[in-house]
Amino acid sequence: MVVAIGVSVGTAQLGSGPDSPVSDSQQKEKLEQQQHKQQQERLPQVQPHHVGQLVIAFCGAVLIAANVAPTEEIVMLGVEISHWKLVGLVLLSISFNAVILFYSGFRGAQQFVGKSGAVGVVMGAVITYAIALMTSASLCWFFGHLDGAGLSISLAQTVVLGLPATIGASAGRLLLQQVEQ
Amino acid sequence: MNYEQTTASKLQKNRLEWSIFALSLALVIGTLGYLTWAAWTQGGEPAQLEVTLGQAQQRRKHFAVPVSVTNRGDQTAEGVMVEVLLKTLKGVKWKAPEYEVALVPRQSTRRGEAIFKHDPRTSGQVTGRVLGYEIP
Repeated sequence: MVVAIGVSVGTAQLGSGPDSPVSDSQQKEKLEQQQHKQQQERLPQVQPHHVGQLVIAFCGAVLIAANVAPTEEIVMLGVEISHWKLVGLVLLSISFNAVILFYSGFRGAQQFVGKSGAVGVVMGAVITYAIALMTSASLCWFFGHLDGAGLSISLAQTVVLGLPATIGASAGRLLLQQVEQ
Repeated sequence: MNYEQTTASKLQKNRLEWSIFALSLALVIGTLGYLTWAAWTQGGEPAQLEVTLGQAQQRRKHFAVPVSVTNRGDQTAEGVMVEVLLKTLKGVKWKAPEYEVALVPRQSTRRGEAIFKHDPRTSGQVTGRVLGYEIP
């Protein structure tokens, strides 16, 4: 299942690079894509539906984090990492969100993310990170990492798993919507 | 009328967006706040392990005593060796096999069971203690 999702997402997002050698079929595909792009440009810009975006961000977070969540490494890292490093990890994850959603030039990012500008960037990054944290906590609970664990350890594991979940909630969300199109 | 409806819908959407942002911000600030507070206050206090024993239960041909190992310290204990003893009324000590708890993180509890051939509820008194652990 994971491989299938990976192949479809990878093909959709990375399938045609400008520097790659081009065959006849690829040229046709490229032309079709250009036409599709022109058509899209002609269409009025539609504001993304907020709740729908949250759901897709959750799906993206699950898509990436579910692969890592059942492993023992999450427990070990959560147990051994210091609180200051966790604070750093939270800030790093939020920065990743901002970079992926607003500055990395992912295909379709502008269309799905909505507002830009300082307020928009902060809003997008914080909301996406909150979803990643909730997804991460749910996965930790589902795989039994929180059984008998205190608040400190539970939060540590959630923040550690929050990093891949963050990448899923931002990049995965854009990739998923790319596949949907 | 149409303009009013559109404005109302935009306002509603805006409100929803800001409410979600407020909730998210509260969650993120709460997480950061707790972690910063914990970083300041929770020092390097070594693991403090406590063994708590529950009520013995009969399981076919043997008796199981629930054992909880709680770490109240700030450091994690690895490979915790637990010993459970049953002291009979005649003074004889029946020792359940020692067992190892792989990991007891800070402020956390791990559970297990000690198995006896004799009924601890009628035979005497059960005690438990930690023999040792590794510092990761």
